[in-house]
Amino acid sequence: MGIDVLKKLTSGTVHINTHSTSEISTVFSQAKGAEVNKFSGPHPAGCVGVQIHHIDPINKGDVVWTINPFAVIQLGKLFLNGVYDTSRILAITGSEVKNPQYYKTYTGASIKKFIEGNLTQDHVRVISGNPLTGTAIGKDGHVGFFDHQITVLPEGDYYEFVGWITPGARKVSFQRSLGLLSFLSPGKERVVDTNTHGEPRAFVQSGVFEQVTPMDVLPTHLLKSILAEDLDEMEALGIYEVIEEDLALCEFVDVSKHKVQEIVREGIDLIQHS
Amino acid sequence: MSTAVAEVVEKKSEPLFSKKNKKLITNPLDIDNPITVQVLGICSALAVTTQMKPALVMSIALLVVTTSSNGIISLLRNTIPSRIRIIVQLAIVSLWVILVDQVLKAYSYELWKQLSVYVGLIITNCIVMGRLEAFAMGNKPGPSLLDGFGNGLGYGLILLIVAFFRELFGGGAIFGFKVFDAMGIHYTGNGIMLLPAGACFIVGIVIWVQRSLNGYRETH
Amino acid sequence: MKFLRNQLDKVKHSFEKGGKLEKYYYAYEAIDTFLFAPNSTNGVKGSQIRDAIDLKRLMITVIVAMVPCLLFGIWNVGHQHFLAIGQPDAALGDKIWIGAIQVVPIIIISYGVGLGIEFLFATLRRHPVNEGYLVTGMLIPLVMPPDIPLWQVAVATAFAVVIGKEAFGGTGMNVVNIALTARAFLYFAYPTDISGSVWTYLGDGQAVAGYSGATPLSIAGDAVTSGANVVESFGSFGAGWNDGVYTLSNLFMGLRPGSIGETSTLMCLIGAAILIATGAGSWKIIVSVFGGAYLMGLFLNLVGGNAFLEMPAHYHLVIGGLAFGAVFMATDPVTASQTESGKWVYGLLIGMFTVLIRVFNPAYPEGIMLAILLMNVFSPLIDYFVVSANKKRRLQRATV
Repeated sequence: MGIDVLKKLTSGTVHINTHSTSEISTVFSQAKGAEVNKFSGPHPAGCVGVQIHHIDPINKGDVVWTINPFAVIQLGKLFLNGVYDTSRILAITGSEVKNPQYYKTYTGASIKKFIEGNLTQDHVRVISGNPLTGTAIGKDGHVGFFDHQITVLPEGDYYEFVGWITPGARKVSFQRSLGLLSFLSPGKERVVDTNTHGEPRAFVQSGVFEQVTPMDVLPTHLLKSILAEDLDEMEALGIYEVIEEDLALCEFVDVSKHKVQEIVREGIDLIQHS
Repeated sequence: MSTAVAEVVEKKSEPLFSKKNKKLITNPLDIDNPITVQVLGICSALAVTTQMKPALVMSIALLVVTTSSNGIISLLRNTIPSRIRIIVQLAIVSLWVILVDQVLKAYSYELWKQLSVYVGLIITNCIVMGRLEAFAMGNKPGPSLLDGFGNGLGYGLILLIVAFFRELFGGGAIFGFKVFDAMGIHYTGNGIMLLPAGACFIVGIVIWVQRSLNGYRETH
Repeated sequence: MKFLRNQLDKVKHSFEKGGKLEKYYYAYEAIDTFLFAPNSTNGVKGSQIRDAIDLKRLMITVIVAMVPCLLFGIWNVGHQHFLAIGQPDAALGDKIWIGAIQVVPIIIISYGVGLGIEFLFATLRRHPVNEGYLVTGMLIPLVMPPDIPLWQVAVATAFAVVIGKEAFGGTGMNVVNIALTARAFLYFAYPTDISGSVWTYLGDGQAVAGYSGATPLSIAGDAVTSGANVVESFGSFGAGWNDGVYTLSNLFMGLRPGSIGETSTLMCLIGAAILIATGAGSWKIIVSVFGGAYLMGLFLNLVGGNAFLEMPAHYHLVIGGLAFGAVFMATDPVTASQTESGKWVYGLLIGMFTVLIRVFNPAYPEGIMLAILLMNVFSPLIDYFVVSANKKRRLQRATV
């Protein structure tokens, strides 16, 4: 039903993007008038920006609306029953949660009672959303409107003696520089914390941004054009095709610890308000 | 090229060395320097600055040419038809250049040989033509003389600074006097200073120092 | 460690904003972050977790990749010294000792002068001290001849850091490779001290009879006029005091005179393996430099004309500093081409120009230095075309 509503709301095509190996429920396969696309692969294959880029890249002037399945259900319920359904399935996750599990709750609920007594230690950061794109909300915060997940990670505000050279497989890294041995045991689960593992430095281009950006976009050049506030250049380099979460991995792997997502948002705001 | 100075409106009974006119001499030395700010006359600045002596002679030659041609053009400025003004300016500049050239040839033949074509090339030196166009064509002879003199000085100043470092580091000497040997230090000449690239580096450093002193900011 | 941390925390406030030593904050910051990975956490929005890599770790990885070259270089300096003075049976310890006496002071000077300038500018300009110099400071000694006067190392380092880097705004903004700028500076400023027979350290020793300091490149250069077969000249060179010094296998192993770190192609390849395995260097650039040089060598073989042109192409890969330049200089992420397809073009052109300069310009026997510097300058242009192509693809599908 929700999909039918969407078709009414837009004059363009409705795309349904699913994971390629998962069983497609009949709801999707029988939905008429909508195209079903299948995606698979590591993050950020699940980001809508990346998916749109591969289906039909956004050009200047295009409008693409994205909606997650829960919201489609909400829409359907609204039109079938006339009720705005605010219930929400919330996943409490993260290394510091004793019993990670799903909870049924409501949009904007306080998370206090979910994590109280459910933590292995006290010095933690509570994130609404996932660790790559979420927002820190504190222990008595509320679930964000677009979030279906709460992540609790250990806070990383500690010093580490000559931490830039100590070897070990404990720390997660995309790269395999000296002493970063995590690539030797890829299947192992590791605890990540919120430490920056380094300090801000000048942009060093080691080609790693391109490796984590599965799009025909040059992340380094795009970021530089945003920093220079060059609107024409931003447009030419594809600012319309990205949002923060598409380049979240760039922020994660960045050697120079730049706030990539903040820069991307700045750029989008700039171009929107110009 | 800055034309800011050219917009100065003259008053009738202004003394020759009024504050405004003094600026005509002091500005080209620093904030309006023909080489480091307007970036004119670079060619000769690279070519004749391996030693201080030719640099000094070249500076004096240019000083004479800019001052006097500025003065003469300013005197004639109301009678020159604007269509053929460039050729008139060239004629007057070349008159002075030939004069200087001949004097040098007569009284210091060795130096004249060392400077070779560069004295003759003052004719095409952008500083001279630039000042004629930008200043002398629109101002009275007095200020024009000062303006030409100031720009000649500004050019000479940079030339001498560059030549000082090039001769000192390149050959360990100042005006041919072996400074380091006199102090009893063996000095190995730095070859890069004798190449034109060395002059580029020094002009660049002078610009760098000057800009950071003046708080220069690149404008978009 | 606790004690050290406490001491740092105690003085920290005087460096922070409003403190007495506010001016020197970044000098303090450099030391603090060197001793302790900082306790900073990620912001409220955006990525809450970060990769464990930081610039220091990346840079130390590159340095580790250079260690084989350095150790081999130290030994080789001693080895060549004893060969040249006619004592081929000297003990291993003696060779390393002689080598270390020559090489270690150069390293100390390079780091001392360079880091001093780095701290000075960081303080004046109020920006963090960048770790880039850790690599540059090691590269500079490796491209110096063992016999270089120390004051020249100091002057060249100062020139390279100030003019090559700080004039352009500091780390990450330099146009040309800094270590090569230092080498090029020496090359043009003191040509007599960095050419001819400076590649072997003789010290007080008397050179053995028949000794010659000619390098493979100069032999090949001479072959242009003499017309002698280059490979044969290599084979007969060193007869009597260092038999077979320029055979192909010796050239590959690096048992020959030359700059401290550049001689051994094998050690450079080990370094390359480390760089590629750790992702610190671009394999595309390394492969394409070697490829470009080899292809150009083959092409010149076909053209022929003089003895140097007819030298087998694979010799180009083992003589001079091609391997070292390809692995450690061309891959510098700041000055290399920054787009992935641009890196292929960049590397190929470096290799090709290296061989061209070697063969056709007898005044500059070492082509790799000038080729890399030249392509450093052109790499933004290569990037420009790659970026334009990307933009064009975007424009083509745009409808408005």
